Parts: sequence; structure tokens; C-alpha cells
Amino acid sequence: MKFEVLTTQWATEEETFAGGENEVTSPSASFLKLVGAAESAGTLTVTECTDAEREKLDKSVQSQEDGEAAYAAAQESGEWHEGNLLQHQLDIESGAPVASVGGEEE
Amino acid sequence: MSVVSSDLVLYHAATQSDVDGSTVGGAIDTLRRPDFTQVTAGDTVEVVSSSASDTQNCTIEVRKADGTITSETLALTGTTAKIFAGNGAIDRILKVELASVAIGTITVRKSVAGVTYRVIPVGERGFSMVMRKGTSSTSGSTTYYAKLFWKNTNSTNALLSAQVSESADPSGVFTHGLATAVNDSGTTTNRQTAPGGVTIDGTAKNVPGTDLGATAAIGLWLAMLLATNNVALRSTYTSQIAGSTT
Repeated sequence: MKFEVLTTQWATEEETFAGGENEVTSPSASFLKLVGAAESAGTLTVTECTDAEREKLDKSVQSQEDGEAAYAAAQESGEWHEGNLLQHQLDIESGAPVASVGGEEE
Repeated sequence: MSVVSSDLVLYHAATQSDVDGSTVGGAIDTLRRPDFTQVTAGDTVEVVSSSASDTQNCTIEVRKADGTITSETLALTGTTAKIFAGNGAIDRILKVELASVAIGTITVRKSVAGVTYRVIPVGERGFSMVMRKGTSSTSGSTTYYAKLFWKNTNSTNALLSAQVSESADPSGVFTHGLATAVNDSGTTTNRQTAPGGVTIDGTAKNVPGTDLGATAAIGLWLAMLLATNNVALRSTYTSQIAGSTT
């Protein structure tokens, strides 16, 4: 498999790859998952791989549709609100210009 | 229940503006946010979840003090913090992206157990800087455009007489404009082309239709004007949405 690292370097737990084209022969399943995640994040582009590798790369990242369904479910269940409120509290503590919609400072 | 300030959430649009030559904007992307606390130069980053089930891969893209951009992808380890040591000491976070949505509440913070840069709520996938890879030109000014959304996540009530204003722009390079309708999916040809029909300047903008309805979102276009040979900017921009509620 060949991939082009779009940043100066891309690191994994085991190895660091320089920017530009890199080649890995017989990539492991766990490495393909890392590459898939990095490709989805826009940090590298896979330029050459087998169909089987492409399938594993694509399966290693959740689709936008499945993510949005999970987001909607988390809002419905209330789980989303915990993190959202925690971040909001951090924003207030850091001095962000947060005012209540009634116009009074919180 | 009345609209409260935590109901008003800023999100990215579907297509962000990392590179020249690609379409920018689109519909709201409720999985990714543009706001976070930037690192103190020299920090190392770690990621930890409230759930042991968060073992998905996470990619962090950063800018180093020397201006180089590096990235690292690691598998998270649930409630045990995972240190992103491969990026080393960094100058700023550009992007944090999970391979799948957070199962627990994920915290991205200074290592070890330091200040929090951002919390990723359950059901979201990460955050990133707006205009994170824009550069000035040696032969004239450059304007970059990016699209965000203010979303009213309150499930029952509208934000009445909603208005978006520029709260802070320390570097003085930003202006803003609103989409002509809520829940739009408008795009622009590329990040250096102004979106059609959007008035972009420094004045406060009323949300089209007056109110921002329950679960509705209004597109917010930002423009960043860089002068010829503009010095590097490590800055912030603060947008604010205000209104009343029942």
C-alpha cells in the first residue's frame, strides 16, 4: 500500500512517516485502521492499495450518516447534554462572553 | 423550557476550507465544532474518556513552533488518558478528529491531567480551527471564506429576534455575514471566493425570519482578510448570538 502524508510527518504508536509518499508492504489490520482514520481526518491520502485494503480502510471510519444518527440518539437520551454543559461551564470559567438570553450576565 | 445559552451551539459546515480549489460550505455538520481553548505553546496533548468503550482511533493535527504541521493517529484507551507524544511539544492544535463518535464524554487536555482544551460530547467526532491553513501572499491581499452554523439545540422553543454579532476580533482581520435562510446548504466555489448573496461586513446581522426556531441553524460566513506578507497570526475570533426567549 502507498500513501501520501500531507503534513510534515505523521506518527503512529510504532512508527513515524515523513511527509510525501510512503509505502508499507502487507499492512496489518490495525495499521489499516490507523491509515483509514488519518485519511478521513485529511492528514494523508492513500494512493495505491488493493480492493481488500480499500474495503478495510473505508470500514475503519464511521460514516457521516451513522454519526449523525448517533448524535441524534445522544441528544434524545440526554447523554449529549452532559458534555455540552461541561464545555459550556468551562467556557464561562475561562471568561468567554457568555450571557443569558435574558440579557443578564451569568 | 426556555432557551438557555448552552442551547446555542456553534458547528462547522460540511466542507471546511483547508485547501485552495475545493468547494467550501454546505449544510451543518453537527459532529464537529470550531471552538476550543488553544494550547499554551509547548504543551503536549492527551485524550481521555468517561467511557471505557472509547477505543476508536483519534487523529490530532498540530502546528509546531517552527511552523511545520504534523499529525498523529492513536487508538484511545477509554478512561485511561492517551498521550499524543508523537507530535511532541506543540504550538497550536489545528484539528482533533475521531474515527467514530464519542461514546462517553471525551476530554482533550494538556498532559498530564492539565487544563482542558475542549470536551467532545457524546455523539460528536471532534473539533478544529477555522481558517487553520490560510497563508498570505507576497503579491497582494488574500481573503479566505469559511462557513459555520449557529444552532439552537433547544427542542421546543425558538430564540426570538435572534441576532448574530462580532464579539471579539483581536487581530482585526475578520468580518461576517449570515446565510439568506435558516438550515441552508449553500456553498462557495472555493475558499477565496465570496459566497453569493451574503452581505459580509462588521455589522450585527438579524437572523432571516426574525427567530431561530427550535433545532434550527443559521449559516454564518466568516471572511479573513490577510494583507500582503501578513505576519503569522495566533489569534481568536468570537461570534455571539443573542435573542429573547419565552
